[in-house]
Amino acid sequence: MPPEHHVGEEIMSAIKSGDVKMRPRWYFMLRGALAILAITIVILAAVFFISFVVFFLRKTGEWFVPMFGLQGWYAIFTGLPWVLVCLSGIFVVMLAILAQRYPFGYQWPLFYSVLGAFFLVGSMSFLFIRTSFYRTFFDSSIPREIPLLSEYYPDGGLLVPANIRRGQVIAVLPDGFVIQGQLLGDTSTILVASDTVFPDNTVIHPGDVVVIFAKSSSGTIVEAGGIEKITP
Amino acid sequence: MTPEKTDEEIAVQVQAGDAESFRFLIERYEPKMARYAKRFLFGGDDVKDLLQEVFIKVYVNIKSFDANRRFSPWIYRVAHNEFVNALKKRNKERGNISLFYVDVLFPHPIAKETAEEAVTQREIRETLEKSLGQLDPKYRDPLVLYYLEDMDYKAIADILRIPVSTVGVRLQRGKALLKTFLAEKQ
Repeated sequence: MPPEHHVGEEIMSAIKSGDVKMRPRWYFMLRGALAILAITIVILAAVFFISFVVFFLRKTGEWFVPMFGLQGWYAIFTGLPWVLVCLSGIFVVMLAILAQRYPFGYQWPLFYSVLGAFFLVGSMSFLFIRTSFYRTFFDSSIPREIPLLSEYYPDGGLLVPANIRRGQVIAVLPDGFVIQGQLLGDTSTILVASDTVFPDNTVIHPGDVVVIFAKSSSGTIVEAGGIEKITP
Repeated sequence: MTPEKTDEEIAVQVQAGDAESFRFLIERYEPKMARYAKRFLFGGDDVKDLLQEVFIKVYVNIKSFDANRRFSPWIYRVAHNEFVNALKKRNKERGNISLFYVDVLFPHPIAKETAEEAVTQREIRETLEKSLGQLDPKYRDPLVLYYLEDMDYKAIADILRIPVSTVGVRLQRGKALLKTFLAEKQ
């Protein structure tokens, strides 16, 4: 190698004189800890928003309508809180990108990393939803104060889908039953027709919690397209 | 200090405070880093300045090196980043932002090298040396690391921070480009 490229002596002189110093190990540990903290925050944010989306869909009854076929899927698709869904997606992608700084991240194509991040966040959300804390927290006043979430609560102008009712049966009638909505406490009279779909063919009793997929509605009278008894 | 110590053992000694041992790492890697810098199309004083930057960065950050991993890909990674940053500053090209290449987003099957390709490999090396300036960095970097620096797929993946499958794809495509250059010259 040409002598002009020899840099060893200059570098060793700089090291011996103290001009160049090793960064201490705690610097890298702190950097690593900050990276882990950032990843943890992103995971928690993704789990939080995904869990809230599930909470919202269950509260409005949209969660249960896919069982009514394509119309149900269309209803859930159009009723999704898309801002929160997109936000959750952004956090998941951020997680996959943050993972790229580690060998377990960059050794796989980003597509697999994003899938892995979805699976991780989805699993954690699933576990969180199983806890009693999940419903207690989202039913409390705390999330109602969070700017992005407050609009999804009844007193914040909840985006209740017009063709879905969720409520508790308070009276059974010859041609249907009366329900009291669990979101706003309003009552609706549900009319059962010959073509009303009962996915499980169950009998409705007072006290049952049901989701109604409305064929048409006029004020508090709802003609049921589909009825499903659910476990709240 | 006996010269038979591995790079990793020397790095551990440097981490423990034996700064003098760093000299051995410089002696071992200075020729390789100079050769690698030239393959990024640097020359003259640029190479010397870059080598100084690389080794200073290596020393300053030596405590981040995990001695359970190989030292060579780690120092090549530091050098690669330094050379890419220097190229960006020089405005010769935009540098390799792998994240935005489609071939790092989706999986690809890896093609295996065969023994029949031994002769072809010599031709590829010769053509590569002459064609460095014509190649897109995305193909040049893995080709240089594989054919001229004798790195394996895993080491190249660690240096460039891309999936192993992407290394294979880029080598295949880079080789195809080199064969085109060779055919044009013939």
